[in-house]
Amino acid sequence: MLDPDSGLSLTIARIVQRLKGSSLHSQLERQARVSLHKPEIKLESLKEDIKDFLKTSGWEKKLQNAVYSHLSVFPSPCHPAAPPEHMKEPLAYMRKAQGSWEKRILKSLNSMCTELGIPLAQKRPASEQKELLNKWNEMGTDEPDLSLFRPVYAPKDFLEVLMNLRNPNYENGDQPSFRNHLGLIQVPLKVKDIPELKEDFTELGLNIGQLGIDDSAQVPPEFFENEHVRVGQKVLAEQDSAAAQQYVRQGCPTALRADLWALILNISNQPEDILYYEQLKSNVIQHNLLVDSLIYKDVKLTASNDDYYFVFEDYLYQVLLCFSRDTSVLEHFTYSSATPPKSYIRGKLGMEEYAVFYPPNGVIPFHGFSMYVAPLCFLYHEPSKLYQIFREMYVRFFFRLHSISSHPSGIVSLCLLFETLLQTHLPQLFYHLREIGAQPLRISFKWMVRAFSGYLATDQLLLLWDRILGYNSLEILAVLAAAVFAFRAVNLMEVTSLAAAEAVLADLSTLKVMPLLQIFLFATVT
Amino acid sequence: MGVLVWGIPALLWGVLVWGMPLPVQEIVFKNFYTAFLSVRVQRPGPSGSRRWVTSLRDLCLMPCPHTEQGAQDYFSLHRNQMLCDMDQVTAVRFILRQPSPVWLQFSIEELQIFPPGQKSPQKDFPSWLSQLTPPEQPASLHGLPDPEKVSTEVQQMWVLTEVIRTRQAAARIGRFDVSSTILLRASAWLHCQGSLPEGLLLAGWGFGVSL
Repeated sequence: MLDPDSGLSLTIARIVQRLKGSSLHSQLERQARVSLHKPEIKLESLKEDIKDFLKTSGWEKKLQNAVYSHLSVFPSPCHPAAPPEHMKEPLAYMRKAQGSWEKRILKSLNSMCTELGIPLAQKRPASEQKELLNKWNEMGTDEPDLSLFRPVYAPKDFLEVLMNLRNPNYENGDQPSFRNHLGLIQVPLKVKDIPELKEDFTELGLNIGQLGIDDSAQVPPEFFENEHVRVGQKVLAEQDSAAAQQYVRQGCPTALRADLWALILNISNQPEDILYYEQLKSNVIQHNLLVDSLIYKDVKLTASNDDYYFVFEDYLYQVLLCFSRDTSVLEHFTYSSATPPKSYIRGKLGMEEYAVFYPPNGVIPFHGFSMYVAPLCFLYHEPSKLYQIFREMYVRFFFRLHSISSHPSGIVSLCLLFETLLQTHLPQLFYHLREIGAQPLRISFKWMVRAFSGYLATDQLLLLWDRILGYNSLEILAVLAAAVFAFRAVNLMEVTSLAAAEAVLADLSTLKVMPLLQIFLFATVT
Repeated sequence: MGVLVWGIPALLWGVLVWGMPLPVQEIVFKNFYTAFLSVRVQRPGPSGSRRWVTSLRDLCLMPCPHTEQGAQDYFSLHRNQMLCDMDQVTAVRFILRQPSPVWLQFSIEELQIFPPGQKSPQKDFPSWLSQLTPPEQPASLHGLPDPEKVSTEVQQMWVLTEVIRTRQAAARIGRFDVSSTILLRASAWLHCQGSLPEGLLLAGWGFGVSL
């Protein structure tokens, strides 16, 4: 009696509308026109023949991938009576909390601007432009004095905000009761329990081959690895995004990872994409933004100090500076709870027609932001491709890690999922840590906000990100965080302070991600 | 009629009355922490009397009533979802249920009722969020939850007992408190917008507290 067809038709209409403006559309059109000269295209069966041609020449696959990518990124359309902000975030109190958090960030940014007497943006003099262009590939050698700059916020500040998040319609008594959560997060979101997670992450099961476990030196490669690599090559040859996404759930062979991820994210690095990147680059060269200094500072403080990533310092500047100028990133604000900040042209404060988004991409970087890019540098050496992959990863996943929303992959849900998993499966440990004032989330929050980048060894991190892409979800981060606590439970039961607990969990670089996840999800008796 | 759960009313109802019989095509509203919605409509019966008929029974708006899912979503009810004919309706009664005691208030908001032919925002649009009314089932006698699931959830209780023990205070757990929420809930309101037929009257919006 319901009409699911019309729901589908609206989604189709939206995708068609979106694809019409894309270069794929014009390419398809061009190909169809060219095909008219082919002898196998008959006038009497024109439509069918062209369809066949597009299918055999691989263009149909490209269209399928574009549609699939759209379906993965954009949420299904919400109810027509709902206002646009409902699509950003359905819960009013979450929207409000995100709004006031943004105000705080802006205030901090503005006060830094005023203190240092630096404008938000200014045109570089010609000599400086030339200089920057010359040293574009070695920006890391530059040592500007950034001692006065400070990161706008760090994950710790963000955690404080999340801890104070309350639903005004929820009975939050001061007394401990069954209504209060025992962790730091006090919002009653629905999070999955282990049986539900088991069902979602079926492919991580004990009897299914995994890269990260079954490719270790003790296991002969003919058991799993060889076959898995062969299948991977086949998936790549087929150029099918959906198949690639299913495939990476069991992990990507190192040699195929770059191509498989690009296929899943539908990034092909066409000439026009390279041109777009070059335009962004020239924007960077022409104008100096205040956020540039924040990016410099962040890279210097994080990636440059990291044993794995310091070599990529120059790449990071290139990608992040271009990212800050990319207005196409603004599109993700239609489905993100965040709203891009606006600034006004000097002397026109408050006049909407003189308002511009600042920074142009609407994203103010925080302490650790560059760690979202760093692991990708291992996979892509061409800056324009690296850039596109990062942008796509950001608008699909990473933005959720620093905005307040009720989305299952949003940071609030991840925190709650982590706390719930730990509390239900390691109640003694959870209670012990809570009693000594070492709330587990205080330790794991920074891991999750950075998607574990900079904490795990890179091979392990990439195996973890394989699963993020494969399941199109960040929930695995919370599961891993809980699994790490479970793994170190014996040591943690001994500690008596937050500092000691932090010390136990300070070094995650020796951990093997996949066995931890597998044991926590599938081999723990509940 | 009314249900009490831990001293807090778990049921609210509201009635919309208009003078003459009118057809109803679609009902659109925004949920505010209502878990289940039933709709009864008044229709002219034989010999001029009017009869109340159930047109929708326990539509689930929040799949897990203790958590936020669906709590502030928009919903559409179409006439083809209704259990009875919606051609001659003189009044609609909304019966809202919220079995979870954790919410201070629950209601439905931005209620709009559309007659056939009137262009609702839903034109060419599917009923995304509306769901089929579940077939009526006798109350399950095997309703005991999965013991494994209970055992994991019972950990929260365990910690609570620990907390209370360590504090050594005669702390109230607060479970059986009859609090001021009853008064708060009485203020649950119904928000009507444009598009309703003329002569509409908000006749009653009460809550059940009798056992």
